[in-house]
Amino acid sequence: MNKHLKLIRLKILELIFASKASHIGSIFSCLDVIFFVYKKYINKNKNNKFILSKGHAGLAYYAVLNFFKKINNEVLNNYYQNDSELIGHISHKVNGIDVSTGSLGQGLPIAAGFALQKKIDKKKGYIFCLISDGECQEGSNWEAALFANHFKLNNLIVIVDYNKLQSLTSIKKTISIEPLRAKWKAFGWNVYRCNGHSLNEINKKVERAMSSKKSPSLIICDTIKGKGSKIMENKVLWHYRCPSLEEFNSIKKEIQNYK
Amino acid sequence: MRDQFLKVLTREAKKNKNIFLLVADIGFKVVDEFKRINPEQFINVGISEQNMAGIATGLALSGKKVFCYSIANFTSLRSIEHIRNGACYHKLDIKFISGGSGYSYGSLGYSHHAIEDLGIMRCLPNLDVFSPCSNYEIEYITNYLVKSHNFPAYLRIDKSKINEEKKKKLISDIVTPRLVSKNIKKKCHIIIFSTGGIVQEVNSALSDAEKKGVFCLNYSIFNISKLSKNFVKKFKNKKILVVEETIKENGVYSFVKDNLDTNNQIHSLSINKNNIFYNAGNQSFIRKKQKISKTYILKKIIKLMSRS
Repeated sequence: MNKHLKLIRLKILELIFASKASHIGSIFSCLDVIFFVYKKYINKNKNNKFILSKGHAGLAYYAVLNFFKKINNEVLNNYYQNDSELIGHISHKVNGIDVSTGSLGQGLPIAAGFALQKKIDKKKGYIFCLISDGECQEGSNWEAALFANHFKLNNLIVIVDYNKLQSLTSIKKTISIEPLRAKWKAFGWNVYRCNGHSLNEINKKVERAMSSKKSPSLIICDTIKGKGSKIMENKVLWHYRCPSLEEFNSIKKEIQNYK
Repeated sequence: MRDQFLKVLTREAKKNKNIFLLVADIGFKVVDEFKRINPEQFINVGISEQNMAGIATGLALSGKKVFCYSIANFTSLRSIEHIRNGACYHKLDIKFISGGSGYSYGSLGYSHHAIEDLGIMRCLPNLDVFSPCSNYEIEYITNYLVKSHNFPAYLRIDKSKINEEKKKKLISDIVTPRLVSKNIKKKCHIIIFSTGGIVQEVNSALSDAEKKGVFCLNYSIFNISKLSKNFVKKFKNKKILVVEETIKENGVYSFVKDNLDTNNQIHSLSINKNNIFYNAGNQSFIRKKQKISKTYILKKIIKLMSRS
């Protein structure tokens, strides 16, 4: 695991533990993707935008913004506390964040609006939108999927954090979204798939998506909920659970020793 | 009123290239002129009202001034959470335009009746609600929304309207209701506040009331977000009746009650949400069934007169 991502994970663990917040599993699952996209395409590039549609992973983005010095430590350490602007679901009141989300199925239509504006005004840049796998059960995403294809929004890149778990059980047992690739293909999108914890693989797929001439692109990132700690990995419990002191210490050690 | 709205918007969009009109597959023929003159600023998002609110959010966050148009219940109720979390939360320059408020689409049935939208939209933060009663009022409001308003708004457009007289009373400002009935020389017995197309029914009822020796004034509350303090001061210790083609909860009655002096007696003639009429009928017919038509307005006025 990238040493920076280890450090960010440790910081997130501390904040979750201190604030008794939830969603650590979902946050760890998409952290690597967020880190990569932010570092390469958002930081110091005003033409591109990133929308975190799975707003419950807001802490992942806050922590990445902190890593790149957009949010100071004092602000970050106040995460989830009374009167903090760093609320549980990502907020546009925070420096470096354009869109608040938290209700699944709302980020993609907004991202399509951003992408459309760039097309109309003939502006450069790409719109990245990270959605969760369970979020594909929301109907509004499919409205936006039709729209983006119709308007040939090739500047729109959607990334699915495919950890295969949702809040109560697996996606398969809840409402299956498979065949995911075929569904998006049928909607006219370019579809790519990669390991969502390999920055190298994500990079290759994003580059391919950026070369699209006509269609919007979707990258299915295979991820692990709770990535970085065997205690949490692939366990639905960690969608909501906040670690106890004992768990906190064990998870911390695991992250420190993760290879 | 819809045509008047589009006429103004078409003209203004030609001057301001940041204005966008989004429609959710609604407006056969009526949006053609806008599209012809401003083709780059017109988008039919298809039958996807939630998506329309989201697309509008992205466009407005990029600096556009966006008008989203559909049938009233689709613009509002279908999209409500996207409007709340997008336009309202981010305080964006998006105007949600509802065609066919109240029972405008009477015989199409309950799915197309907009009788809860006003109260529900009024709950949303950062959003102003407008409900004109004539071409004159909608022209004024549309100009205001285009030139002087840069945060979310909801505009209800009724199919019915009043035909303005040449010597009509003009709107003094956006927060002051406008007198739409004849100005009476005798002592006024009851002040009426109404909004949208039903203003017309009130005016008809007032003519009949006058024949019975009862004199009232009817004000159109076209802005259901803010009320002028100077205007409110005029109505101390008055008998007031609010007439609206919406359910009572959080509608114009609630707005008037919140803003006027507590010494006023404020009465309501609105739709009882537990007694909704579901059969076919045109707007005028359903108003009768819901007991908010001219006849019931007159009855209510006479009843109020008999009370001390």
